Amino acid sequence: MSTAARVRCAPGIVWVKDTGRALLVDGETGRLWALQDADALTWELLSMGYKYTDLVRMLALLLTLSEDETSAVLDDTLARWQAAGIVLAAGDSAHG
Amino acid sequence: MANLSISTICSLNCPYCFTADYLDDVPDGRRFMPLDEFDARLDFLDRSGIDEARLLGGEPTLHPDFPALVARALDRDKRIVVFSNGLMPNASLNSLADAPADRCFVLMNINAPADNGSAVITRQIEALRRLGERAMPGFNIYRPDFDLGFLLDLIEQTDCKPSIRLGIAQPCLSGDNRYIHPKQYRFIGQQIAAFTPIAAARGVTLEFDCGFVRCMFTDQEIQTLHDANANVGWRCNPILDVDVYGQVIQCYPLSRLGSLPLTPDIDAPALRKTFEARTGAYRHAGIYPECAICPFKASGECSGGCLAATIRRFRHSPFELVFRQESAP
Ligand code: SF4
Ligand code: SF4
Repeated sequence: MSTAARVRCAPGIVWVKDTGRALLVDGETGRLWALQDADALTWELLSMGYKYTDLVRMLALLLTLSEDETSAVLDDTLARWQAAGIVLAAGDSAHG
Repeated sequence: MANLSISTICSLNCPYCFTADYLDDVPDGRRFMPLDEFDARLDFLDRSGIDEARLLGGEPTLHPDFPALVARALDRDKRIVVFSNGLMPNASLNSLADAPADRCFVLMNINAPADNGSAVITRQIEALRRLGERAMPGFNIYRPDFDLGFLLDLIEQTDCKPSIRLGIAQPCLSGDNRYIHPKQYRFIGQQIAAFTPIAAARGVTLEFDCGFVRCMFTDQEIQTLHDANANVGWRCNPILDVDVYGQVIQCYPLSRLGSLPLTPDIDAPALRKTFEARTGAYRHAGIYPECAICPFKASGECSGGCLAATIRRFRHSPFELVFRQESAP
């Protein structure tokens, strides 16, 4: 049996790629996040719709980390963003 | 400041009109602000400490009671400012021409003769002539190939105020109107800088409307503008628009972000504060990615361009990521 954790972009979040950052705004609450460096890169790649394994592979190359290290960083980033409300748990689990 | 919209209809159909979204969304029915609601609008100006009644539309002078509105505003010690296309019914034109010159000002929006035809420009010239120093022409740049030379002749023919108010067409949030893309700004800036001394030589100064940005011009061009006494600014200060239904919009291009009702107690600062809370976060960005690191933005010298154009850069990315799979033992 396996459990898939899913996250999705929170519905009110809009964003723009600026020089040196990704700027995220919650259009409903007016909250703002300025993501930089690895966070900005991760967000950009996520917004392109990559799968987890591809995302890890690309980030590992770009951040010059191992895939295991990258995976840990990514999980931590997603947990932070979930706590901030930028991403939401998609709420479903797969059993098999 | 606050603008009072008194008409939703217009006698022209300018392709860049920034009320496009608003007029698409507004319910059919009210073409004009009812006369008996005007006093409530003036009360709002009073409690907001605003001494100007800025009338716009659509074309405001088409309001059937326009002369009565002007008279009421003057009675309440307001200075009248009218944003018009110049195609005024006689009664409206007379009411403005008869108003005290120091309490009445008309910004007449004039398109290139090729856009509207000679009959329109003839009527605009007549209205400018009649209004004299009470009026000045405004010109909205909505395509890169524009020519301002005809306005110099028009000013000389009419003895209106020897200034040109330049606007740069900005997008509604839908982008359904014609507008200048920020990538074209530098080219526009060069042309304005080249025109400024020509205008100055004929005694005409330029004034900039909102939405111009500092990097449209080189330092040398800025000097040229200053030498010609051009009134330049790099600002986006939305002026509240009160519509014919008594709903307040932050600024017409932003109408899709919603409106607030003009209640009997609310004043302009409170409304502005509410709108700014909604849109303030977007102001951290600008019309270009480079605004994020621009010293002119950091110092507050340049706002980073039109807020509507900035918001149009933002997008929602509806990604979903399966990010961990844990196998049960
Ligand atoms: S959002 Fe700002 S720059 Fe754009 S039209 Fe309104 S006031 Fe002008
Ligand atoms: S803030 Fe943006 S628009 Fe203004 S001068 Fe800087 S780069 Fe140009």
